Amino acid sequence: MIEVQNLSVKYQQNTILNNIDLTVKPKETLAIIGPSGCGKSTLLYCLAGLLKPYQGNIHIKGEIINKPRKETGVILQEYGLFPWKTVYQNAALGLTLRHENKSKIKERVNDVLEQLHIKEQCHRYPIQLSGGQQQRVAIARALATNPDLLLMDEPFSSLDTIVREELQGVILDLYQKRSLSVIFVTHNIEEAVFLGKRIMIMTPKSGRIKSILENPCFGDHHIRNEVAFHQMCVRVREELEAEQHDQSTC
Amino acid sequence: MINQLVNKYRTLYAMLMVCLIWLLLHYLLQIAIIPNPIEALLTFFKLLSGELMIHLGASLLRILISIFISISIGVSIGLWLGLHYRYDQFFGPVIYLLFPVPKIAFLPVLMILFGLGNSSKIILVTIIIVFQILVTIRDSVKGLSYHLFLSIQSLGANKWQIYRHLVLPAILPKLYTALRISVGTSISVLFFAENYATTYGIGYFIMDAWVRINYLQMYAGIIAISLLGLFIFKAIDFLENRTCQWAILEKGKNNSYF
Repeated sequence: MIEVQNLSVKYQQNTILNNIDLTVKPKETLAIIGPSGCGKSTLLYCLAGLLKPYQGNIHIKGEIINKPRKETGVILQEYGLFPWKTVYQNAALGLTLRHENKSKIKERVNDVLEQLHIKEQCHRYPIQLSGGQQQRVAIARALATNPDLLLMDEPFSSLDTIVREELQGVILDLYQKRSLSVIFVTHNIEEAVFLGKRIMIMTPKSGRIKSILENPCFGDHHIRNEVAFHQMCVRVREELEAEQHDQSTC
Repeated sequence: MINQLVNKYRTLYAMLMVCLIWLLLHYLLQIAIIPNPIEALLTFFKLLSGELMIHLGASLLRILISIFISISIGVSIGLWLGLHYRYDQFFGPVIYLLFPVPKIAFLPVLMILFGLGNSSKIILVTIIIVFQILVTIRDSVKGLSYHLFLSIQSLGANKWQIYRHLVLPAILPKLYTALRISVGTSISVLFFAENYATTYGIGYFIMDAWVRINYLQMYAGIIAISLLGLFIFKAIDFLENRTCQWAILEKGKNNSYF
């Protein structure tokens, strides 16, 4: 579904991404994890079509990505909600921009707000909501356009553990019910192991892929209490730490 | 209890306070140029049904036209410079140089260029307040989070839609603030401008009463111009309440720290 070949991004003199090759199959999830400044958000922006000047190729379902793609839903850091729009208007924005007719928008948005249990809040403004509720609205907005690919940039980083795990469950649920691929950036190891069918570890600074791990724990809502889950977390941590060690010796 | 009352009738409360201070000064100083506020108010109401209304209307019309022109020019140039750094580089420094120039001193120039009538007065007020609006709008656009632009772009918005759903609603509360400041400025500038080459306008009315040593009429005029300002402020508040509910929620109701 997604083919990335020789992707490089330079900003002034700095290389942010260096020759990235990546393939993602349909209905797969990929966690991208790495220390801050490793270019993981940049990679996500490239996939979203928000960052144009790059070298190499990005194809999603055969389409070259140089502008935002219609069937991709994006959830950015800090939710990206508009404070002057109500919950309903925020969730409907993607459809409004596409000039869909009003009754269709209403049906779709109410549907998705109900799915995320925030329909009661639909006339309130983002400032009147908790962080978790705002994140639900952001998810609703991304899903309202019925995407086949969901991109998320550190979606739950500002939430407390309980709310974060609850929303991770929501995403897993949506993934299982819809025909959806999910790619997300995180710096939380447990999040990567819970939501990533594959986990991609990036090197600090040089902007390369260190390794991609297959994750056998993926897909079970109750896996967090299993030993296998913790073993997987340890594996990812070792991989990340090994990288930092390499860095400090050179 | 008293807090609630004051909060509910705050305009009335403010008027009472001002009258009280005025009354105090009147009795303390005992000079003709500070008349009894009650007499001044009575004169105000008496004159309001007649000539005062015409002067007030003339001033209001000049202010409204100036504000309308200033918003059109200030908002469009402010948005343009705020969103395009490469142009702001060239025009920004020029604007900074022109902003503090006392444009009121150019009234004679304007009168020669645009005549003695309404146009020179409206243009004077406009060239003063347009800067306040322009700079406020430019800076508030610059302060918009880059994430919001990415957010709306990711939903596939075109340029016009970015203005419609992001830029314009975001600057609206700042525009109201700029407007409040501009109204205050425009009233005082207009007062000055109406002293020259006109027989209409509240500025003329006040100065005319002054030279005739009719202090009650002078104060009636001052009351009129103050109420005119209050009326415009209230209208702006009303509009803000109707169109910027979110910004009012953000400001919070009781957000004083001490």
